[in-house]
Amino acid sequence: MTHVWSSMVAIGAALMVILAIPTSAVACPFCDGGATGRNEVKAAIFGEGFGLHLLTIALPFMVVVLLTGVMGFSGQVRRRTD
Amino acid sequence: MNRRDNRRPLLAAGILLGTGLGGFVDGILFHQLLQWHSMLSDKYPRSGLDLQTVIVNLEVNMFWDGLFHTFTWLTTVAGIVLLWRAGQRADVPWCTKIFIGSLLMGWGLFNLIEGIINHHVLHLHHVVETPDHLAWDLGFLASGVIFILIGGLAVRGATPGMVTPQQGAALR
Repeated sequence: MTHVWSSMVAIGAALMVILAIPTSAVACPFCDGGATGRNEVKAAIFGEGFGLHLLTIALPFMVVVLLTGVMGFSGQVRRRTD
Repeated sequence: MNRRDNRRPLLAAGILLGTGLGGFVDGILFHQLLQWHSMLSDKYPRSGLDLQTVIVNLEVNMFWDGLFHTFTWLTTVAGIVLLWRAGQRADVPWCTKIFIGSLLMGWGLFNLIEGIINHHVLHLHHVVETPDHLAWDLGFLASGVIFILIGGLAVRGATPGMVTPQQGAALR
């Protein structure tokens, strides 16, 4: 079971690395500060609210994963005690 | 002989899969096809502003929609992993009613939790970004409760057969 979850963590980490690559969207006219000289999109995304936004978007999924984790764990325990 | 009455692994897999698939319905239908809202469309509105601000806000919302779909995808993959493992266990019943019921419960849980946190507590977005969004937001919560109830009833009423995936394959 451990290797399954470590694979999941690896996939998640890979996605985070992709997110961290400092590329700009080709179709985005305001990502390289082209029009105004300010990188407005990146400033808005990676500004002070980044961590909070990330947490709040992940929160519903985290609640369900926690719930099913408890459910799955109790199923394992039950199997061992049968 | 093992008793095949341990529903929890199948239930957990179905709930995770239902949550992921419910998230995809939200993202594909409401964010992309209907374009009723985006992830942060209450904070970064997509209309009623000058063109440049609207474009910047659209780009910001597109990024957070992408992250939302990332979590949705990861949850779906986790559900597939749990389903695969449940299928390999001799004590888990391979029951369609439990599986469909748990998928509905997962979808309902997603609507309920996402609705409470994002629509009502944090106001990141609403189902529709109009002044009368409350009715739509409450309808979204109600859909979650209805899905959970229907799914719960299906799981509760299930009478799993004695066939595991391995036995089913052997019979074929």
